Amino acid sequence: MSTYIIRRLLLVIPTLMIVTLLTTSALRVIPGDAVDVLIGQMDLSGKEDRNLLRAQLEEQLGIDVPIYVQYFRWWRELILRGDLGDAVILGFDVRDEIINRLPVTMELGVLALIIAMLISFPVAIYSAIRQDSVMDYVFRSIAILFISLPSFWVGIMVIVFPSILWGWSPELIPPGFLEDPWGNLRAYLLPAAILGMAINGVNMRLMRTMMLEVVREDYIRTAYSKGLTERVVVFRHAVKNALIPVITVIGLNIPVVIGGSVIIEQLFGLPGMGRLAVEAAFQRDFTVIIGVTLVFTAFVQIIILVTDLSYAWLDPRIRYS
Amino acid sequence: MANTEIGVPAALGAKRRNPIADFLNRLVKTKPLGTASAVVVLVFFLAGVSATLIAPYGYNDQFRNARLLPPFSESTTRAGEPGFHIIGTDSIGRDLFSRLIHGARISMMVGVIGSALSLVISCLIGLPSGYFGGKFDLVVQRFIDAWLTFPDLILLILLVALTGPSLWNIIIILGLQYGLGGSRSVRGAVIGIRQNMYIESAQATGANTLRILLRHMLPNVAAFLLVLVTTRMPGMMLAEAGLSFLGLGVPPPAPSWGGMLSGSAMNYIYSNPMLAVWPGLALSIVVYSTNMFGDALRDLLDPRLRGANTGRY
Repeated sequence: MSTYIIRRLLLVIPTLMIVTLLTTSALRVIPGDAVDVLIGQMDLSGKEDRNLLRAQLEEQLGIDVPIYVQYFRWWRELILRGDLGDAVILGFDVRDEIINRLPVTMELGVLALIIAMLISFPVAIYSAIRQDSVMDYVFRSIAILFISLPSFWVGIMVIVFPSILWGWSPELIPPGFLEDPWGNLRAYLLPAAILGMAINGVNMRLMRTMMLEVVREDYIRTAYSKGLTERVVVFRHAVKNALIPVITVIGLNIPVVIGGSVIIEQLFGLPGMGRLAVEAAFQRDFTVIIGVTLVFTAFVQIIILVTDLSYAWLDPRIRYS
Repeated sequence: MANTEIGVPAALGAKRRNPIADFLNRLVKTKPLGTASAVVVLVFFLAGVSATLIAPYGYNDQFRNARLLPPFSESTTRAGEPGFHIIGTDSIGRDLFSRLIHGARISMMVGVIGSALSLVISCLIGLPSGYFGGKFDLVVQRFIDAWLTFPDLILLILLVALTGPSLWNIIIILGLQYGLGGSRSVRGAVIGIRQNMYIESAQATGANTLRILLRHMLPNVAAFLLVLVTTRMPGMMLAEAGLSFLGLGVPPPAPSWGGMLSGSAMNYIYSNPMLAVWPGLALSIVVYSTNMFGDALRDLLDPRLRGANTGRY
């Protein structure tokens, strides 16, 4: 088992190397880079030699060398000193900035997942047991509605209309979790609920399908036929065995949560990773883009590994070697 | 019973039945909700196609003294002609209704061209990958695995950051992104039919690989592909709107529904909330209808896809 984990962890490294290499080269090859943004921000009298200025800036930023040199220098800094470099435009230390912003996205994402699961799990079980009933159709239509509503629009509506109608507006700047845990959670609840909405729609459908398979298993029929009540069959047999699909679904949700958090963070002004990615994209700030890419890739890879391992933990029939 | 074909004996009727008419017949009879959704999508599609004809004004035409007018108000154009605004004007005096219709064109372009492109990419990768299998399949699938693990909106943002925001860039990026994802499903479908007798017979009669792929494989996964496209379309439209909302999509003054909710438009939202309601409502209706239609289509054509992942944002 531990050799399996080590092997899988080692496989993450080439993935990270390839992804960062692709990002680095793409950022270098395609014109209109951060240097242009920097020159654009400068107070130029018009007399300066732009090419000279460019060359100076490129040397300062360490991008006057071939791509592979830049790439290996970047990895050397990361491995030897844990340094991701400084943001080209905004100047902050990329590693510190990511460490500051990661908890925001994590809290948002975890809350959204919890909200989505609390709703979609019971609904999926109900829909699977009462397949093709009226409520099943209602839930399925609601699921499609949840998938279809653009989260940024729902967010705008939720921010704007209560404020106009009742003068209520959501708290937009969450206090620190340690100082005011309740206030912190309250501020995150609304954005998390909106982010959870789309995931909820996806999950209600996915889990219903998976539950349908579970309720058709032999052991469920056996449980019914030995005269157990429906409640016992559902809670003691079906729900327990539905946990594996739930883990699969959570694994599938993670990239969706990360993607969706970009829009929610932008909308609610939460200083998370998604907003950092958008800011970096606007300014073509390559050190930030590569840093963010690295963290997201590593995160997703590790989540996939954890998902795979939890299968073995939940289902003794699955073994890795 | 208006259809005379239904009256003739089944064996006779089956021979002459047009598959498309037959399918439409089934759709209307068994899926009323899906049919209604299809009509809604069709209306938006036609509105998008003929936007320049049916929109009362151009999407970037400004009117005199016409900023933030309420619905049903009148104004004058720059040329001095009278203007009428059925749902009012935006913050710089442009007719909102016209902008919404032109917005339908952008959304439909993204949805239709984007999914057509993704379909081509899915087939180009998925057909050979599923048919040949082996090393080729392995390498291709590992690459796609890596691509798919990345959160897609983040990837889209990075790609737009690299290529710059424009309508065609968005369409190409979305087509590529969804095409790679869909190639996985096409591969699965191909593997499912690869063992069939008719493929073996085609090989035995000496048909070359290209012919087998295009004449035997492709028609047999066609229904599946149709379902795949309809379930991908809404996701693309939402992704475009999301990107435009972030300011990384179709650049202004193009009237993307997502873009109409971003940037300076937000400054006027508390005084004129309907400004934000219309584009989002239009987008929601189109996406919801496409999803409902896709769902009905899937039930009719390909039950294997039940519960498959659709749009996400």
